[in-house]
Parts: sequence; structure tokens; C-alpha cells
Amino acid sequence: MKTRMTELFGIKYPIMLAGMNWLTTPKLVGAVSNAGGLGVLAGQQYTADKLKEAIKQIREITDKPFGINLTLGVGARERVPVIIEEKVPVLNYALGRPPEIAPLIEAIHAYGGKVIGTIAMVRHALRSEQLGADAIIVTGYEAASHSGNVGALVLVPQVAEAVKVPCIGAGGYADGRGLAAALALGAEGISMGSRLAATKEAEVADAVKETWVKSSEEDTVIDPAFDGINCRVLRNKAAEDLLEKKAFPLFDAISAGMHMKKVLNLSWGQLFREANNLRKMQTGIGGGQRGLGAAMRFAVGSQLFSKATVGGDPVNGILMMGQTTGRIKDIPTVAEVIERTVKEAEKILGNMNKQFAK
Amino acid sequence: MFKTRVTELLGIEYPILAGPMAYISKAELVAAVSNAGGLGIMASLTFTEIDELRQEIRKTKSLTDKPFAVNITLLPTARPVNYEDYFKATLDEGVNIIETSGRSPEPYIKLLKDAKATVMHRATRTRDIKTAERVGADAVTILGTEAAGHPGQEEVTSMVRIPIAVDEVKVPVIAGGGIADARGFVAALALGAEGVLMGTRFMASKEANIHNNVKDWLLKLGEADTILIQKSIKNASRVVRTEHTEKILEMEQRGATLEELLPMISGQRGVNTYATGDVSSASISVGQVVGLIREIPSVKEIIDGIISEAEQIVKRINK
Repeated sequence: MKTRMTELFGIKYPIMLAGMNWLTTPKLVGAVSNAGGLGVLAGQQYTADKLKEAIKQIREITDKPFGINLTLGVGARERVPVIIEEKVPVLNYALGRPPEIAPLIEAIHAYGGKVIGTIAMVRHALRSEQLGADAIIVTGYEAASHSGNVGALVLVPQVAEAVKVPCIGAGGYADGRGLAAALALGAEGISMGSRLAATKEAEVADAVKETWVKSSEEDTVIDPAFDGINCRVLRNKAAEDLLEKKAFPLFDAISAGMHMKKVLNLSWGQLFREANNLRKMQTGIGGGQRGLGAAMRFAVGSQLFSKATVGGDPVNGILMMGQTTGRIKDIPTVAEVIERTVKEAEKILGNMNKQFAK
Repeated sequence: MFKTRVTELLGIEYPILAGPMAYISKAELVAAVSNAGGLGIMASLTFTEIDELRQEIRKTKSLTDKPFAVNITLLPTARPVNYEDYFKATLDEGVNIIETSGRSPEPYIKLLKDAKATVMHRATRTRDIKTAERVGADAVTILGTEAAGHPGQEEVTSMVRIPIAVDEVKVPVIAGGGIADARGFVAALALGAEGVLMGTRFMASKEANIHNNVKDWLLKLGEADTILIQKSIKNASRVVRTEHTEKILEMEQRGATLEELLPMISGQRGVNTYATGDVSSASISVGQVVGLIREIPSVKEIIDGIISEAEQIVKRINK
């Protein structure tokens, strides 16, 4: 199946893995690339050294193109040189401000790499294109984690007609029906998160995979309570607790802050700025507090995110989850997901062609 | 022609239905949609007197000999409504396609089936369309959160709702919410729907009987210019973001009571805006698709355009 997305990245199928923190590992990324899609690793979850190691591991598993996702903020600066040094084929950035995005894109282009910008609003898509991005990920309201308020069915065609570079739909996609719909809306492919994480190759606890299979499309909630800006997560006990809490006991915030400092290798000042940046950068996406309140929420939220995924506890941790969860009914291999998605989409579109011919 | 189980069931040419809009979906618009090969659906609760409804149905019949439907919304209203009278009058006037919404049609199914009417039920939740199928609906419409009017408390989008609906019921599924053009039409069908329901698109048509100021205003709105109000009273409603509607949202966040909200959310405000064209204090229902609407064509141009562009889209992707 050829589209402008497959041609841009040199991949077989127009399907990419969403670069999810704590869920994407070299093994999963390699499996997606080997199956003909574009595997993407979340760079944010590693220190620079560990990221370098992870890239090496991906290259041991696959010789196909892959990407690294980076949320642009304080911690990104030390990871960017690794991506450039390693000549990672694709960089997918999210958030960020033009003065840091433009030179980054230039540096990636300099070695022949490609850049994808992730957006949730038409205005941001236009800005990404103007800054030099080669493709745009269009995040619909149904997506896990951060999004705007507009559903994919409306947002994808708007962005696709506003920009010239290829658009990739994200949020709501789990099968060939979704891929066919995305192509009809003007996208050149799709990004799948939950669907590709609920697979045999994903290195996440079975309890988390089972949560995707069990949960319905009505079991998620979107709110700034989890990390400072609107973020869609599983509505579990931990989420309900955070929704009710307007503030945190100082002790919780400090202990969470210490934990996240260590994981992300940040100073207290950097952690504080990271949280504040997240809030400031995504203007237009509904946000919560500023300053210390934002930093506390970010620290507590981040620790709970890793508790759900790394800790394998989807009850007491916070699990980012899209409405797509209602469509996930099994735990197949990555190759099975990708192949059946492409086959189903081709069949649907072929049948529609015949229907018009009648 | 574009055949699906929905076109067969309803005896129409194209699987495109016009969502019933209070005060807008009257004889002219309903007949125009049916004449263009789609299915017009009259919003019956616009009429407070049964005789007015009878008159409007007769007027529609004088404007088209094609099938059209009447919607009866079974939601709590400010004024008491004897629904049975609405069903009986509609059937008595010879309309044989009824769309229900708001609550399960079960209490009226026997009445409808005895009259050999075709029943479509519209809902926002999977469990509600399953119930409708179980009690005898011939088709169901699933509404995503993108939709105008009452798109549900759960805020689940059409991209997710449509394929789940198709997997969960055997009767044909019609998709509403987020669809305004050929791209959305093909996407909805790709997701498994056998027809689409569009409201906002037909509101911005030549035949919609609303003030031109309102139509011009719609053209200027973007995809993010709608908000959901009335969630606090469990009756989520998607409307244009205006000073007035943001004030409603603020009142809700402060914990305003239904009594305090009622004068602010009264449907009479919409009627006034439609008539005078004064949008400053409007509370107008529109879907997120308002951002995709750039012109005010005729109903026939909308429907013909969707079908011909849909064919081009499918051909382009299949290349």
C-alpha cells in the first residue's frame, strides 16, 4: 500500500507506532519497523546515555527506518545531540517553540533525516509546516494523552487541506476501517498507540494489556489534573483521586519530584521549568495551574504514569489511554495487527469502488 | 444511485439523511432533502399544537412525493408533551418513517409496527442502540460527540463510536456527528456505517429558513469554536462559543441550579436568533463540522457534490 507517507519514510505500510512514554521499547519499535511500519521510540523516558543504548538495540533488531519522539522542553536539549550523532532516520517532535524547533529540523535535515510535527490544532499544523516539518501527526480528541477538543473526523480533513506535507492521523485508529477512513479524510497514513502496545511484543505487564482489552470507549477521562494540561487517561481509582484533588500534600509532591528528577536526570530547577513549559507551550489546549502548582502536578502525574506502565499497576497508577481502547479485543503480534489492518483497508476501499461502479 | 441497506430500507436514492433541527427542519428543508434523493426528517416538537404538525406534514407532501420522516424526541421538555398524540398524528397523516431519539422507543413500538412504519432510533451510547434494536428498531443512528444538539455526556467521537456500533448491532447503522462533506461520508462508510446524518451542513444551505446573518456567521466559525454546555444538568449540548454560552459554562462551573440555568438555555433564544439574525446573545446548536463549511449551497448541490466527490476520493485512494 503506497501513499506519500510510505514514500517519505521508505516504509512498506502507512502505519506508525505512536512514541508513547514508558510503553515503547526497542523491542516494540523494532517489531513495528520489521513488520513494514514505522516504529517510534519515546526519547523522553531515557537519559541521553540510555537513549544512545536504546538506539543501538533497535538497530540490532531491525535495519528498517525508525524514529524517536521527543517532547521539546528542558530535558530535550541533552537528548537531541544523541539523535543527530546517531543519524536517527525520523524525529517526531511534540510541543516546543519555534526558536528551538527550526534549528532542530535543520540539523535533522542536514544528515538526510525526516521530521514529523505532532499537533492538535490547524494553527499549529501550519506553523510546523512553515518551520520545515516533512509530515504532520494530527491528534484527534479521541487520542490518549494530550489533545485538543476536535474529533479526528473533523480535524483530519481541516489539517489535510491546510498543509501540503503529508498528514498522519492519530487517535481512534485500531484497524483497517480506521485506516480506510483516515485515507478518505485526506491523511496519508495512521499512527497507532494503544493498538500496537496491546501486542505480544510490547514489554508491559499483562495487567496493562488486559486493561486495554477490558476497557470500553467510555472508560477514559480527559482533564488537566494529571500533568498540567488536558490529558486523556483511564478513569481508574488513581485518576478519580487526582480529579478530586485541587492540590497535593507537599510531601507527595516532593517525593514524586525526587523520583522524576532521578528518572529524567533533571535538577530541581529543570523539573520546575519542564512543568511550566509544558503548560505554556501548548496554548490552546486547556490547561490548569502555573508555577509551583503546575510543577507539583507534573511531578505527581509523571510518577503515577510510570507506576501504571513500568510498575505494571493500572489500578493505582495513571494509564494514558485513548477511546480506541473500546476497539481492542485481543493481544496479537505486531505483524498481525499491521497486516490485517492493511488488508482490511484495501478490501473496504476496493468494495466501495465497486459500489460506485454499479 | 448509491445502494446500501439504508437506501433500500427507506426507499431513497442516496444514504444521506438530514438531522432534524428544531425550528429549521420544516416542510421546505425536509422536502428539499428528499427531492434531492436523501431523506428529510421533520423536527416535530417544533410544533406545540398537533394541528400545526399535521399542517406541516401536508405542506411537505405538497412539495415532494419522495419518502420523508418525522422525528419525535422523547426527552424531558419544559412543557408537558403527549408523545402518543404526536406519533398518532404523524401516522395518521401517512408518514411511514419515524425517527425516535432521547429515550428508548419501546412504549411506542407496537403502535408504530401495527401501522407498518419503519422505525429509526438515534442515540449516543452503544447500549442504547442495542436496546433500540432489541425492541424493534429497523435502523439505528449513532451520534459522536462532534455533533450539534445533544451528543451525549460521554464525549466519545464518531471515529470510535461508528465501528463499535456496527459490531454490536445487526440492523443498519447511520452515522451522525462530524460529517459534512464527501470525505466524512466515505470515512463513515469505511468505518461500517450504511448512511450518514448531517445537521449543520443542511443548516448552512439555501433552503434552511433562518436569517442570512446566521448563515454568514457560520461560515466564519472554525472547528474549535463550539463548546459543550449543560453537562452539569446531564443534557450536554454542543453550541457555538459566544459570550452568552461561555457565561452558561461559567454558571455551571459555579454550580448553578437548573432554575438559574433555564432562562439562559431556553430554546426561544435560538428561535429569536434565527428570525432576527442577531447572533450576539445566541445559543445556537452547531457541530464541530462548522469549521469545514465555507459556502451556502442548495440542498441538491450538497447531496450531488458529496456523491460525485465521494466517487473521486474512492478512485484516488484505490489508484
